[in-house]
Amino acid sequence: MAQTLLHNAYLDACRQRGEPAWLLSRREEAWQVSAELPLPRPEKTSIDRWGLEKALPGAIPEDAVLPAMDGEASASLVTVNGFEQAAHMDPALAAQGVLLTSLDRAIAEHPDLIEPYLLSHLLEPDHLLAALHRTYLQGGHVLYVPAGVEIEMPLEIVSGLGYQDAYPHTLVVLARGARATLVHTELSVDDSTMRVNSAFEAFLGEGAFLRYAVVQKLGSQVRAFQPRLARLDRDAQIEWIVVQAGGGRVVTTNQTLLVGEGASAESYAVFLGAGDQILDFQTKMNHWASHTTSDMDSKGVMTDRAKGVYTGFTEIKKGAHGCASWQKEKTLMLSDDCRVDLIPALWIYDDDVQKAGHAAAAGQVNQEQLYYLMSRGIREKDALLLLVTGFLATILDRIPLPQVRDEIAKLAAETLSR
Amino acid sequence: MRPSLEIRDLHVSIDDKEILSGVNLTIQGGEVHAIMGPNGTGKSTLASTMMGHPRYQVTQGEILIDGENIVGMKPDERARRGLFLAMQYPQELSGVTTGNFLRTAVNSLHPEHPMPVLQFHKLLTEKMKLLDIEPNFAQRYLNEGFSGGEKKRNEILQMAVLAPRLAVLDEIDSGLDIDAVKIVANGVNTLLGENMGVMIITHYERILRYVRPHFVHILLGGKVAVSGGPELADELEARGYDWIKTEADPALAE
Repeated sequence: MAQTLLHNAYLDACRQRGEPAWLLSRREEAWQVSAELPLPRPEKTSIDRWGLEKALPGAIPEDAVLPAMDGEASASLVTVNGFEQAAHMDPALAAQGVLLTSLDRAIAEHPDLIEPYLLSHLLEPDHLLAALHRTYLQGGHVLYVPAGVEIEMPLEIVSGLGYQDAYPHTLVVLARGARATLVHTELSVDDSTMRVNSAFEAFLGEGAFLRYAVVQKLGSQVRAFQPRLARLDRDAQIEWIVVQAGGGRVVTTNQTLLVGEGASAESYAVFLGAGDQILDFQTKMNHWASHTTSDMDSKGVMTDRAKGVYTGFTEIKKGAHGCASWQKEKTLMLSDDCRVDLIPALWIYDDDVQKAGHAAAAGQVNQEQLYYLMSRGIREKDALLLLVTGFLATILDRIPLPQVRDEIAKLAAETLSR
Repeated sequence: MRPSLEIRDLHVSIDDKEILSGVNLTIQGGEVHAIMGPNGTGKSTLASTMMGHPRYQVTQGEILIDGENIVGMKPDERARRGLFLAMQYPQELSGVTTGNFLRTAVNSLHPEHPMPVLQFHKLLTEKMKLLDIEPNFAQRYLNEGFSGGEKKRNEILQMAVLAPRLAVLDEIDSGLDIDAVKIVANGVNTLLGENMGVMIITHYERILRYVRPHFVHILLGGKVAVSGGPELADELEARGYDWIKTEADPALAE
């Protein structure tokens, strides 16, 4: 009952700050169905006791700690729990109609632009956390690139999280033929024990191209549920670069719906688990149209007592002809007590498949390589770090902003040297 | 102080099978020793054991560097005492550039004086020139996709940059054409001096025409069967190994 009271107060506040009716009703509808929906049940990870369903969004203090920003991007946005703290935009991009702004501002200033997209893939939530995200979404980021606009330089979002449970939402819309690279870093600004129920949704129009690099390095006290989804129209392309390093207990899904013919998706992912981390990481490719292709390349490094689950999922629908999908996952195990489950899954319902397959392997450090490095005077710890960064290089080298790339290398070093 | 290496009554096993059965050898700075012998006689076992490869168990004896026994030490601790092994089969490491690897190594050997990046690059460029190595080498991933000759040259480059006190070259000449042998030999000769002792392990006497050894030892049946001067290598070239088996140790001929 207490939750209902808080819930009503929250919706009242949304109403009072003048949210459009369509958004209020999307919240209300989701709340109505939430009571009947179960928690999501990832195959190998039980989240029943994580308390994610009890998370309630709240305000952040006025003097919230700001995450650092480096300023090499052509447009950037800094938020804490999705609330805008700083924003910068190259005037030339603004003149072309490019929008990189907080969700609140987009709702207030461009409601018609985002209405067709916001939460549209979650219209019928199939589990409790999706319904709650829809009910409580608060703060976040919007990138809108109009038709035909091609942005060379990376755009950047730095998203700090802390203080309170948070429901940030990131919406990316690339209209027909648009091209953009977005680097999105998620980090903790304090050491609050908090719950995050975030979502990312991207809509790529015909022939659009998005390179989305997301670096999640939240603190170990954070519990997070982080679905990310992209929907691709005809001939659209997406390149995911996902670094999942932080958070104490995390379930994340990176899903691409290939709904237009000829659409293609590449996914390059790194997951790092240390300490007592529990990390459930899923990459999903849904081939719903003919001649769509997908390629997944994931690498994990696990140490200490960390527990990881990697699921690579490919679906080729009946009637989707001539599709190709390949998945590859490799995990390096650095300790005796860590553990990883690799679950490649192929659901193929069409007979006309160009290519579909997977390769999965988990292994220890190559002792001959370790010996070779140590024979040059390099201490075991440093040698391991060289081996790990080398192992991850094929994926980390793809991160568009060099300083973000270096950060990850540093993060891996810190993780290992603890 | 002139470096010294002393191997005393070294017995080594792999998986409980004895490979070396009492090797004795002393090398001082400024000296070049060649270790020769037919295949399967324990030459590479000796090299790997000296460097501390975990697969080789020392069951008896000592390896002393400047009087300190290094048996039981990890490979990196041995390297920090000045030992270097140019390996017969260098590992390939994807994602780690040769330059980054070498700088990590230099700074691991001298943690109290980390070398500034520019100084390191100067050193690296100078040594690459010495070994006739093209400049983009440092940016390539360590040994990945290298030809056999490039890998061996990379081993000598590492030796040149790390400046060890005792260098063991394990079959550094195998798989090299004669021009590459000359370049490698030239590199070794340039680095030679009072402050470095060298052990060249080889199956062929070819490289010894370009790096003249002061001493030649023939390893047979896990022991040094014969030791002599450079003329011993010439004799091997002329007569092969069989005469040693009968003359030096009749027991081995059976």
